[in-house]
Amino acid sequence: MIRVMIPVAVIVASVGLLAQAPPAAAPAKPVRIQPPARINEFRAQPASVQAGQQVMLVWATENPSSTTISPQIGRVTPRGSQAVTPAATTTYVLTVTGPNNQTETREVTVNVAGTAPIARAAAAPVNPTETPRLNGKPDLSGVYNFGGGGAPAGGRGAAPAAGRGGPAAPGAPAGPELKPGKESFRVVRGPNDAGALSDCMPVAGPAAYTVPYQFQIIQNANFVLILHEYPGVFRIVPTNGGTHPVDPDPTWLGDSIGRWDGDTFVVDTVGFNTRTELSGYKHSEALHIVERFSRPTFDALQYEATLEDPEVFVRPWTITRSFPLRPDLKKIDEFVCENNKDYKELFVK
Amino acid sequence: MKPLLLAAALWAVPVCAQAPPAAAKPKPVARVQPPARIMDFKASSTNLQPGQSTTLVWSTENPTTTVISGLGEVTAIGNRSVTPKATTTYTLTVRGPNGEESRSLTINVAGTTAIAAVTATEAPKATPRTAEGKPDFTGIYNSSSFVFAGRQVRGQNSPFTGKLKPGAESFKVARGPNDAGQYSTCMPTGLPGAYFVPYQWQIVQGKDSVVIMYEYPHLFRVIPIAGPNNVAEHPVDPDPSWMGNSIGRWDGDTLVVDVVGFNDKTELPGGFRHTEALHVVERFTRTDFENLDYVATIEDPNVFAEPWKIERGFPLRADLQTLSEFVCENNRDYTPFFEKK
Repeated sequence: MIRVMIPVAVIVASVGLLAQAPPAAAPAKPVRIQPPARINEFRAQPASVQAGQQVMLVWATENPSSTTISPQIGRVTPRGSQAVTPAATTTYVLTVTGPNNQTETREVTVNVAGTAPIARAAAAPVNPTETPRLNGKPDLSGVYNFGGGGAPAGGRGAAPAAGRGGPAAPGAPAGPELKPGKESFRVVRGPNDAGALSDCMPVAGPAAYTVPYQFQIIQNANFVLILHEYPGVFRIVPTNGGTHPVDPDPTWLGDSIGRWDGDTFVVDTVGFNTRTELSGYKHSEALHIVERFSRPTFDALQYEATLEDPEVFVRPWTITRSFPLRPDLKKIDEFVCENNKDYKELFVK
Repeated sequence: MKPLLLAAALWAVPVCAQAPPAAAKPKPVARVQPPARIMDFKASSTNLQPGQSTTLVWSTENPTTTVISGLGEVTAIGNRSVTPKATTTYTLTVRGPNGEESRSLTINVAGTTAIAAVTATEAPKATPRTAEGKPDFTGIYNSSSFVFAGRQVRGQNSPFTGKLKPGAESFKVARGPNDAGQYSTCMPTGLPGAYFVPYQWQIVQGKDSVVIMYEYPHLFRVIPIAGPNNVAEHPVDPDPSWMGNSIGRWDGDTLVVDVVGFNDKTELPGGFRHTEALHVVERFTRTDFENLDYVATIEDPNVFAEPWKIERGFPLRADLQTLSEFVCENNRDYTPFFEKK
């Protein structure tokens, strides 16, 4: 299989269109019958192997609110496949949960030649809404989808946070507002300017979560890592109570420190360079971003970012997003721009 | 500014590594090893209000280790911002061939009583462990390309022993005068090349996975670890990638990382190209708090007569908390810097 890198600006353009489509006019709501969750298929290929050989589990379900496979595998997508190498004959159990906690299960046994079947573990109780915890704090670890469709808090009219972003929609009081005399910080693109996301440079602030790629969080007692598939960057957030350096070197992604505010993880970032864009504006090195992450359910991460740059903007503003978990992914992919300059040339009109 | 540093550093390092041993050594003269000394230990301010910060500044000569109480091991020359909650005495201790030398510095915090001075720890600290009892590899480590704090590391100058199989001679890299080499374009280094550039790298160990990040050229690897509640399997047909697909497992206290699915664009230490059949097995062991032992087994049946090993020790950089950001702003521009006139 060969993966083709699609320059992000192309995808952002199409996603942006979808995200901005007006909601369909809603007629009076009829009472809906929620369809039950069903298992359409669950098989192993091949069903019998020699020790050390790999087996593919393949499944398809309908309408589940949660889908799990035991042992070992845990939460999965409604349709998918997973390679496993069972050490001994193993019975895998697929469980779907539907409305009103209705469940359906199906089993498939993989025979490993010359081994005794592993005693089946009691089906793990599945609670699709429970937030995992680590050291007494919510565990944010997981792969999440990007959240392209969010809106800034305090009103509709999400400033498109990526690509050819324009200024916030008129009448969006909570969005960025330039100080008098700072009009030059508004980004104006000529016809041959392919935009901030055309050259594979790091993306700062909330826009990093709106490009159409996944991101991943890994957490331990002293660090939270935020890894962005596009353009292959990592942020290391220490959580051991330290402070920012007195005079941090300006960088694309800034210097971040983290702390817990109850069950919310708060990341404070300063020390940005002036190369990145925020919702269609440039900014100064005085940019200060406070991000708040919470995981109220297993399935999603809630995100809120407050941005301030007293050199450029009248007041701080806040953007909220929700990012769905991708339980089918253990890690994000490698993304490498092999020649940054070439991407820009693709977009020149 | 960084890319230029990189250019200079990478240019210099291979040259140093390949320099022939000085010819015709004169009779060895008994050398007096210079003693470790503290030249300076001061703070930007020694009288603070509660909540204020001060910067500790120190410089030492010839230390094998440099430790500041409360901060742990630090570089020989450096500075660090601290925000003591109460009046605190910091003790700088250098260790060298002559023994130890210490100097103390008290930072007064208005309206507080002094915290009892912490004595510097003597014995090497034990390997840190997770709640599950596994070694915790979390930390920043030096590359094996240059010596940190005068410490000799395992395998520092060991030769690379890959033997090409007959007919595979074209996999030996031969550079023309205008070929600036694999490190001139900021592309991912592959494995185990990632440890052979003069930049630090960092491990953060999570519950079910370990992340390894390399400062140059800003790369990360997410390595799922097989466990009772976690499957870690290679995909049946992984997409070829620069850093490959990694899965991990525990072998006692050693973390074993199996990597396949490489593309054929990277080079191996020793100057070899390889095919997509490359298979690298990395074994990480944190022998004590300050040292990581690393063994990579390299196998590519299309290229090498037999699997071969690279062994290195990587010292912990206790003075660093996070890697610096490294961004190549335009890969293509780097190459001409290196072209010979």
